[in-house]
Amino acid sequence: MKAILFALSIALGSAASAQIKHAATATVLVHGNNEQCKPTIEAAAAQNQYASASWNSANHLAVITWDSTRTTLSAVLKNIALAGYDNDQYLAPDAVYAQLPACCQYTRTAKKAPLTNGASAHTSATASSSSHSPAAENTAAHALAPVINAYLLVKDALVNSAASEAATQAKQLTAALAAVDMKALAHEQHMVWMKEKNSLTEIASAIAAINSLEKQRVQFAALSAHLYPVVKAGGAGRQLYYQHCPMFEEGADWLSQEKTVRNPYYGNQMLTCGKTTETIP
Amino acid sequence: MKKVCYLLYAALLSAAAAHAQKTVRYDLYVTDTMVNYTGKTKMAYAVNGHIPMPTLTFTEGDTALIYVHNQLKHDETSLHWHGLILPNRYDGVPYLTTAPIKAGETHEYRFPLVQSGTYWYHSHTGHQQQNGMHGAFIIHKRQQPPMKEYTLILSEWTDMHPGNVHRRLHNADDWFAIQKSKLQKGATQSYAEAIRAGHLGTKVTNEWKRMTAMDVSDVYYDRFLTNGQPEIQAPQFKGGETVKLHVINGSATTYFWLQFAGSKLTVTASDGMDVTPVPVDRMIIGTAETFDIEVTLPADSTAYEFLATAEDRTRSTSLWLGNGIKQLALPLQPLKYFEGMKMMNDMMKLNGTLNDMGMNMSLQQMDMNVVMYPEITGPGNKSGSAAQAHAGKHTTNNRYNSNTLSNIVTLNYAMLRAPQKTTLPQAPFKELRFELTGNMNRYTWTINNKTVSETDKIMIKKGENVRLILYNNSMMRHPMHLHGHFFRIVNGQGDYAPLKNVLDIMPMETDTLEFAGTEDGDWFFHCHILYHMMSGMGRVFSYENSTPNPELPDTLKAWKQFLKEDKGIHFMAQNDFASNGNDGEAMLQNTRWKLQAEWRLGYNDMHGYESEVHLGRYIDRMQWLFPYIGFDWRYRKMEEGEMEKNIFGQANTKDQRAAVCFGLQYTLPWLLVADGRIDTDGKLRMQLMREDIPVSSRLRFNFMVNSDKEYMAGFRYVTNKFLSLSTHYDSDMGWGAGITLNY
Repeated sequence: MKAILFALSIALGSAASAQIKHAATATVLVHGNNEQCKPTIEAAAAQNQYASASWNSANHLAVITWDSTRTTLSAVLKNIALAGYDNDQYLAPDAVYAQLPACCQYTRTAKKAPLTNGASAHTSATASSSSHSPAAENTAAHALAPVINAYLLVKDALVNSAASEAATQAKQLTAALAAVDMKALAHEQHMVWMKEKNSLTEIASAIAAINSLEKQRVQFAALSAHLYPVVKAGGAGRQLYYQHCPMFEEGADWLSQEKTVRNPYYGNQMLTCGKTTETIP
Repeated sequence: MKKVCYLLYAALLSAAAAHAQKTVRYDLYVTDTMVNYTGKTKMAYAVNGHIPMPTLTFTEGDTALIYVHNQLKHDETSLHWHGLILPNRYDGVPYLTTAPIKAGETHEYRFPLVQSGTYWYHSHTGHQQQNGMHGAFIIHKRQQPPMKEYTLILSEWTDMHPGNVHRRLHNADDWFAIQKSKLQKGATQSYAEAIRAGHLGTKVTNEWKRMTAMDVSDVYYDRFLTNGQPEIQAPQFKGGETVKLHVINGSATTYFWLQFAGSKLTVTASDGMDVTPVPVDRMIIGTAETFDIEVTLPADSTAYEFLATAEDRTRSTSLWLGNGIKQLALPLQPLKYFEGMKMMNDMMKLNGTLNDMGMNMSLQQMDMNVVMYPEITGPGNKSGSAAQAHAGKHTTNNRYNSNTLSNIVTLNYAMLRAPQKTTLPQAPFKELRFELTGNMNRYTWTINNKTVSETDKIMIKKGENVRLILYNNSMMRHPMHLHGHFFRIVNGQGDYAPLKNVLDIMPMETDTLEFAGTEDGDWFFHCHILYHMMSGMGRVFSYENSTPNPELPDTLKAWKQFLKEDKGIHFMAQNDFASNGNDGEAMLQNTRWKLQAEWRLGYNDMHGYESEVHLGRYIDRMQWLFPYIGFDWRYRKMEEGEMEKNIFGQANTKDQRAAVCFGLQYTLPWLLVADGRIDTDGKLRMQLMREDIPVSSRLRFNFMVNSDKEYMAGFRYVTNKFLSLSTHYDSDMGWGAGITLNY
């Protein structure tokens, strides 16, 4: 009998050792959206061989277990934030959050909004979001301004190789396209607009529905090709540059607010490849 | 501890009391101490009980009065005031400008502060700087508008004694790479890793060009530190505030990438001198450089990460600005080592010099290392992607320009501009051309292929201007530092060239520096990577007709003592305790000379006993050619009537030989060492050998074959820094296996 008990205790002991030793446990809020975020969050915790996590998509609470002699709760939460998920202790780098699939882009309630006290001169934030925000500029005069703004945001998202961001902005573009007050357009531009509007809406919704960066870029080339005649016909209330990449799909174009080339078709891989072919007043 | 507190208090009190008379006094007590960064307790140096040394704060126009109390048990020490314009005798280079401070002595430094800005101070003796003796030296402007500020000094920590680090570097030991590979796969750059990365051809070409694994930094570190801690908090700052960071790289060998999670980095000064503010997304800070960087905290209740990542990207250190939830910066992904190796292959000529392919590189604008940076050139991938095809279309001129390749703005020297004109007085120029030279295999670092001790001082006249044209023809970057002067970096900003005292120069770059000869005495110009400096990478500028230095009355003796630094002799030894005998070698070597002994000792007379001793000198720049004279002794009992002949038909004397020999070793492509020799009996021997072929990250293959029809081949598996498991076959002794110990 004693022997059996002894054997049993060994078996239990070894079963326990397959799990985390000196286990400490905590329940922590980890921001996320749904079941699809669960594997990434748990894998991020398990990068540390002395830790594991179990995340509940209903209440966004993660039960974290770690070996208190080998690592800390902070170290585990840092890994989770570096995978894109804000939590009790850490906020994810903006660029990592931007790369999350659209379905996992939770609302960042933990992140404080920047104070807007004029200190923004040097504070256009991290690398990935450093491109200029066209929306911030006063271009409300022209009826197409919201469309151009939304288009430029889609372009910027592609420059930053952020597929889900591009999808989100494309959705905004669809709305902006629907809201254009055609009567405010000059006759010539009005005619071109009538011709292109359906294609533009179709392509914008397509981009909003795709998650693949590559496919979005193919669509974006078409989007640019349809938008170009519209702005060409009557301008957009601001100066735009028509730019050309000789490589993508045997040559593709886009519209930009800056003369400096920031290639939306390759992003960081080949950012400044391309040239300005036309300046649209 | 009580004592430490008291001393600190005394130091602060005296500083405060003296301020009224514009003489600011500090007392610095140097002591031996024990520290524990990794779980192991190690020796280090503390000043006033602290690592790093205390931040010394002054106002421009003050007189600094600093007493250094050497309370070390045995060691001499010294303190150099990095970047300060001061009388030569206070510069703090022992035996060159200042008397060393012996154990138990107190040394007085008294000098007026004629400048403002962010500087630092450190020991200039041995490896003390690395083990704790570095600190910040901040001089405020006289009318300085109040501003939030924070001083941080970056450094590194290794549990290995720096003396041993230095010794291992000279023995081409790859233990550091093995340690890095624990953190980052592929860091050893072995054949197995090359095959896995699809870069076998790259690795073969690399070794063909006689290069060992390429790296951006030589040493493995256990920790990187901000103000002596891996992570440090500065919760006093609030959202919306702009903070001026005084960032000092007080490390011995490490360059750091700097990033901030909350805003851009606005660079407002370098090496103490103001520059026109320039906003960037990230920047690299070279060893011994300082920068003032303004950052803005975007929101409240958040601590934003100021992240400093070592250039090799093995580890990082963080400062958290603000109080609250921690906003992370984007970590840097591991280097694509094999892309870097491929780039080096393209640049390296077979004769060991570098070819810049007509790019006229300068001022950090073309960073060849971008090929290794995933955030600039995309994630590690094999050739043939659209992006790489695209890259081919780029002109050579911006192929390596980080700022045109990506939307991340990285600081380079061409972006620095002085706020005022920095033109030199009208005077004749003395022009000097320095080629930075060296090789990794023997860790020899030189200027124009000469160490400090192999050259004389360079004489300059007071009143003349000096122009230095530096060309880096070595495979590593070097932070070149000039004592007691600021130089202007000729960087295309015309009259507004920035002033600095440290210049980082990357491989293949040419940079031009100019300074006015306004001082007196001897001033050291050297690479600030500690182990490069100690290997002799420097020169001394000496003003003609200088006033005698009261610190060093016996000038000649002091000079000789100073020159000893790069004449160090490095020892290594290795022995394989195998079942078929003992196989080993020991070496003593310095910059040019090597004394080498090898032995193979069997366990019986039939296996024999043999030893060879060589003394020789490396004579060419790349140190591939090594003529030597040696002595050869061997004994082996042969079968009755057994007679061996070498391939030249000469009877072999393996049974009993004691002969003096003359030989020549030459390192062939693929790092094969060819060794031809003739002994006093007229016997010829030709031998080919390759040691330590990196098969996988820890497995090494060796082989040797010679014209005495002897051959050997074996494997060695590195288990830790002193111990390997080994097996080999030897034509005399047969199969054997055992353990190899090395030191």
